[in-house]
Amino acid sequence: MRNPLSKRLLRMLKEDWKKYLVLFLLLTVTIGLISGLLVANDSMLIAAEESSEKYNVENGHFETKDRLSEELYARMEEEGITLYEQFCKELSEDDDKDGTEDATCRVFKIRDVINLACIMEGEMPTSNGEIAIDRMHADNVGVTVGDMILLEGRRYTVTGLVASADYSCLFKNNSDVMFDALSFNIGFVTDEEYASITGKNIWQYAFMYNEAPTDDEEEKVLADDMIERIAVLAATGGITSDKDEAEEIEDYVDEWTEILEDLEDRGNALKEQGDELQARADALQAEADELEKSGNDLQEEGTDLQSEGEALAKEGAELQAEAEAFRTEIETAAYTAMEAVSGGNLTLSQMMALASLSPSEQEAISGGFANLSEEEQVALLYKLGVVNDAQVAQMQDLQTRAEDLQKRVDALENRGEDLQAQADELQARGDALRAEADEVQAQADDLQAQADALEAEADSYQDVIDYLEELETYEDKMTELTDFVPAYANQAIKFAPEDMDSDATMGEYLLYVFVAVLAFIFGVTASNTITRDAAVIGTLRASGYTKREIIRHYSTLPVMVTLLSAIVGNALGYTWFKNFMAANYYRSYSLPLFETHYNMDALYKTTLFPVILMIAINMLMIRKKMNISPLKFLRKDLSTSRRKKAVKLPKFRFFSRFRLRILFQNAVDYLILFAGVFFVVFLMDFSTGMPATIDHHMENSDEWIIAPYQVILTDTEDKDGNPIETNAAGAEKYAMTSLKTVDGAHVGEEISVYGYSEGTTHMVMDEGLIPEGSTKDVFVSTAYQEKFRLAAGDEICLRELYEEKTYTFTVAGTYDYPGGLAVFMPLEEYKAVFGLKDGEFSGFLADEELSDIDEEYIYKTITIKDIMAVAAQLDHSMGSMLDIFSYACIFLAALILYLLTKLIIEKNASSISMVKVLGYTNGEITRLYVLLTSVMVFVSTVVSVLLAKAGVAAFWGQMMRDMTGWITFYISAKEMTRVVVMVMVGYAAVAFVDMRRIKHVPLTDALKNAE
Amino acid sequence: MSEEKFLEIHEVYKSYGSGDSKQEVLKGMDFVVGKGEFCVLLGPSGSGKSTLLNIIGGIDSADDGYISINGDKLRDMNEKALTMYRRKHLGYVFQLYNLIPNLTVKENVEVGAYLSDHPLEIDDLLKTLGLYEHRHKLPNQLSGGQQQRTSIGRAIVKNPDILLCDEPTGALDYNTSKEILQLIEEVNRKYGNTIIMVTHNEAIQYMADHTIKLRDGKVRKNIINEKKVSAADLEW
Repeated sequence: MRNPLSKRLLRMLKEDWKKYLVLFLLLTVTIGLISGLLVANDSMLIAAEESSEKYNVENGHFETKDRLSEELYARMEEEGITLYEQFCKELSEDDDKDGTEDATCRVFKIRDVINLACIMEGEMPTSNGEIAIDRMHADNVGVTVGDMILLEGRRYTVTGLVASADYSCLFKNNSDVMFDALSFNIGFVTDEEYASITGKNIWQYAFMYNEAPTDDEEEKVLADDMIERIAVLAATGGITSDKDEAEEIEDYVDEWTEILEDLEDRGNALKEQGDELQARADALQAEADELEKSGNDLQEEGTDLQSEGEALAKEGAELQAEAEAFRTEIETAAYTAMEAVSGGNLTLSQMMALASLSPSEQEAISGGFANLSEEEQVALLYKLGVVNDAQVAQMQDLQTRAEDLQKRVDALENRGEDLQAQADELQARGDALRAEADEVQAQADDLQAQADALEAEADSYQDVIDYLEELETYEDKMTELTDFVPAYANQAIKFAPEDMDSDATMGEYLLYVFVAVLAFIFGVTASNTITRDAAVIGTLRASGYTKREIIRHYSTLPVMVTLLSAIVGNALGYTWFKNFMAANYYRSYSLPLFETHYNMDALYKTTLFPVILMIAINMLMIRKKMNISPLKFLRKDLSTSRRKKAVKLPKFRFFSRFRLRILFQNAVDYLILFAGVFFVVFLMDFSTGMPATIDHHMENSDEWIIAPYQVILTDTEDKDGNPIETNAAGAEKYAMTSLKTVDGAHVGEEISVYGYSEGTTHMVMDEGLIPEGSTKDVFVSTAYQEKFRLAAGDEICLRELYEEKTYTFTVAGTYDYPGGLAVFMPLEEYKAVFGLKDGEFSGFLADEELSDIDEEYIYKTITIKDIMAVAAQLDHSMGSMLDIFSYACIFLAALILYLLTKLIIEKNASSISMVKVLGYTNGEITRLYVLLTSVMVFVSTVVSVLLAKAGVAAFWGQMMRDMTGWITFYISAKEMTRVVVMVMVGYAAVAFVDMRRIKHVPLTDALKNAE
Repeated sequence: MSEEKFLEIHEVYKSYGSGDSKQEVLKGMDFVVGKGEFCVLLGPSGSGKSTLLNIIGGIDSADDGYISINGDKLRDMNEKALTMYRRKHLGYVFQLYNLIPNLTVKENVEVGAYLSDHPLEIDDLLKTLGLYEHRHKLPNQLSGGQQQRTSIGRAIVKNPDILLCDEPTGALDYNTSKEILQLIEEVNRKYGNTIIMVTHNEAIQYMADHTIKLRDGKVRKNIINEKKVSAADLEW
C-alpha cells in the first residue's frame, strides 16, 4: 500500500506554494544558467580544440630583431621545426576618421598555411585598399563589413570580419595583464598591399614541430628546449644551437681574441719601438750628413785659407824683396851720406841741411846712424836730402803694405786657428755620432729578433686565426631573439579556453554553494515544519512509522522541487541560456563558429549533483531532528539540549528586552540569515568591487606610471656614433630588462627590472636602504610585493627570459608602483649586475614626448594610454555584465531574505498570535519582529560587507595570481555603502511582505499550539 | 456581583465548513453576564464553549447574533477596534498557558503590563502570585502551576474588565488546580474583574456566581449560584 503520508505532500505544497515557488525559480534560473554555461562552454572548447587542426594553429612563434638570413632560417629548421614567415606591421588605426588614433592594428599578409582565419562575415580582401579585421574588435568599435577605416591615414575598406585562430583573445603582448579588444586589432591584407605599407616590419616567425608533442607536458619541455636553441642560434648566427657549445665557442673566442690582441699589442709595441729607433737613426743620419757637410765646408775653407796663405807668402816675399831692394838703396844712400858727412864732402845744400839738424840728429848721423830705425834713417836722410820724396813715399808705401800684409797674415792665422777649433769640434761630434749609431744598431738588432719571434708566434696561431675568421663570417647573420611564445603559453591562444574552463569550474562551484544554501533553507523549513507537526510525528512514530519513512516524507518536497528545477533549468539551459552564454563569450573573445554539443557531464553536474546535495543536506538536518524520542514529539518538547537559564538583561525598555529575547530565541535562524546575507553580499562585493577596482585602476593609472613618457631606444648611439641625447623636460636615462620568476605565486611571470639614474625624479625611493656598491639589494614594486607576498629581507630569484642564467636579489624595500611587477635598483648596480658598459642604457624617462630624437632610434614609447588599455578592456568586457549581476544580486538578496525571514516569522507564529490575542497591534508586533529582523539584516549586511571584502580580495588575489600581472583589489567605502543600500533596498520589499505576514498570522494559532 | 448588564451574548450562531460538511457549533447562544461576575461555561466536549469564548475574546467571529460589552457590539468593530478591545478590556488564560517561551516570568507579565496605561505593580503582583522568587526564570524552568500563575499574572496585570479563562486547570493536577482556582477567586475578589471560565469540571461551578451549562451549541441551563463555595472547599 502506498504511504498515506504522500497524500499530504500536495497539500503541503499548496499551503506553502509561495515559498516553494521562490525556491523553484531560484533553482531553475541558477541551474539553467549553469547548464547553459556548461553546454556553451563545452561546445566552445570543442570548437577551440578542433580549430587547432582546422585552422592549423601554430605550435609557437618568435620574433627577432632582424630578418633571419636564409642560412639561419634553414639552420633553425634543422632543429625539428618548420618555420613560417609571419611578418607584420603595427599601424595606427582611426575608426571614426576624426584624425585621432583609436587603436593599433597589427597587419599581416593573408595566411594560407598556418594560423588561418575563420571568416565570420564578408570575405578576405582581394585587392589593394581592402582589409579583413578581427570580428571582436570590429564589434567593439562599431565597424561593419563595407565600412572604411584609416590605417596610418590610408583608407581601407573592411571586406570581412574574421576570427584568427592565433588571436582568439586580442592580447597585444603576451605579458599583458588583459587582452585589449578595444584599442588593439589585427588585420589581413593582400601581399601587394602589405608590401606597399611603409613602416617597421616585426620579424615574426610561426613554427610547427615536425614531430608534434604527444601531451602538454612534452610540449612544455620541448618548448623550453626550443626557446634556448632558437635564442642560441639567433645569437650565434647559426653556428650552433647548443648553448654549452656556444658558451665554449664564446669562451674560446674571448680567450683567443685576448691572446691575439695581446700579440697585436706586442707587435704594435715592437713596431712603435722600431719606428722610434728608425726616427733616431734618421736623426743620426741627418746629423752625420750635417757633420759631413760641415767637415767639407771646413775642408774647403782650409783649402782657401791655404791658397790665401800661399798668396800672402808670395806677396810677403815680393814685398820682402822690394823692401830689401829699397833698404839696399837707402843703405847705399846713407852710406854715401855718412861718408860725405864724415868726409866733409858735402854740398852746400847738404851742409845747410846738416846744419839744420838737431844735435841728436847730427850725432846720429855721425856715429849712431845704424841705431836708428829705418824710418828715422829715411827721415834723416830725407832731411839731408839724400833721399827724395819719392823714396820717402816708396818707403811709406812699403811700410803700409808690410803692415797690411801683416794684418792679413794675422787674420789668416786667426782663421786658421778658428778652422782648427771647428775641425776639433767636428771630430768630437763625429765620435759621438758613431757611438750612438752603434747603440741604435744594437737596438735594431734586438727589435729584429723580437719581431722574428713574434712572427713565429703568429705563424703558430694561424689555425686559430683562420677559425676566428671563419666565425666572423657568421656575424652578419647574428640577430637577437626578442620574443618567443610557445602556443601553450600564448595568452592570445590559450586565455579564452582556459578562462572558459575556469568559468565552468567556478559556475559549478557557485551552483553547488547555491544549492547548498537553498538545501539548508529547505532543511530549516522542514525542521520548522517538524516542530509544528511534533504531535503528529509523535503519534506516527508511536504508531510504528519508522524514522526513515518520516524523513523521506519531509525531504520529498525539497527533492521534488530540486528535481523539477533541474529538469526545467536544463531544458532552458540547453536552449535559451546556452545562446545567452555563448553570446556573452562572443562579447569577450574572438572565437570561431561553434556547433552545440550536448554532453551528459553537464546533465550530471546540474541535475544529479544538486539533487544529491539537496537530499544529503536535508537528510542530515531532518535526521538530527528525528533522533528525538516519540514521547518528546508527543509532548512537543523538541529541545535536544539541557534547559537553559534566562540570560539576565540590563534594565532596557521592555520592547528592547523583548527584542533581545526574540533574538536569543532565534539565534540560530539569525545566524542562518547572516550566512544567507553573507553569501549574497559576497557576490555583490565581487560584482561591485570588480568594476570599482577597474575604475580605481583607471583613475590612478596616471599616478602609477613610471613616467609620463617611457621611451625605449633601439640604440644608444646614432649612425655617426654620437650618443643619443634629449632635451625633453624631466628626461633622464634608465636601463631596463625583463626577467621571469622561477618560483612563488606565479612561475614564469615577467618582471621588469629597472636601473634608475642617481637623483632620479621619476622613481623616488629611499635609496638609503640600499648599501653603496650593493649588487643584490633591490626595491620591488607594490604590485610585485602584493602578488608574491614579499617582505623586506626576502630573497627573490629571477631568470633570463630565454636563458638559464638566474639572478638572486634581496628585497630592500617596496616602491609604491602598483602599475606593474618590477624591480628597481641604482643604474650603477644595474650595470654591474647585467654587464652594461659605460654609456649603455635602455632609454629615457621624460615628462614630455621626445621630439628631438629621430623615430628610427625609438623602439617603443610607453604612455598612460598603454597602461589604461588593460583597465579599459576589463571595464568593457566585464563592466556591463557585472552591473547586471549586481542587480540580479539585489533580486537574489530579496529572495533569500524572503525565505529566511519567512522562516523566522513562521517559527514565531504562535508567539505573534499570542501577543495579538493579548491585544498587541500589528504595528507593535512589527516593531518587535520586523524591526529586529531589519536591524539584524542591516548588521549582517554591514558585517558581511566587511568580511566579504577580505574574502573577495583574497579570491581576487588568487584569481590574479593565476593570471599575468597584478591589479590590487579595491572597494571604497562608497561601494560598500552601495552594497549595503542595495541589500536594504531588496530587504525593504521583504520587510513589507513580512509586515503583511505578521498581519495574517491567525489569532487562533495561539490557541492551537502551546509552545 | 453587579446586576448591571455588562456582557451580552445575543442569539449567537457559529458554524464551520460548508455544504455537507457544515458543522454548526453555536446555535443561538443567548445570555448575559454582569460586571464583576464570575461566570463558568460548563459543558462536554463539542458543546461550543471554547468557540464561544474565542468569539467573546474577539479572536473569532459569530455568523449571526452579536456580543456586546457595555453596549459596544463586537460585530461592528473592525480588526483594529477588536485589537483595541482585547487590549483594553480582556485578559486571557489558556489551558496550556501559552507563555512566550523566550521571556522570563517577569517579562511575560510585562507583556501584559505594556498594554495598559495603568498596569498593576508587577513585583507586588508577582508576590501575590507567589512567583517573585521565580521572576527571572524562563517558562520551561517552571512547573505547570507556576506557568499558569504566570499566565494569570500576564492576564490581570493590565487589570482587564474581563478575564477569559479557557480550561485553566485542564492540564494541572488536583492540588495545583485548586491553587489556581483560589488565585482566580482572589483576583476576582481583589480586582473585581468579570471572569468567564470555560471548564468541563462540574465542581468549579460551585465557586462561580453564574453558571451557563451548554450542550450541542445551546444554553441548556443558566444558573445563578446563590450559595457560592470557596475554591479551597471544592472537592472533585
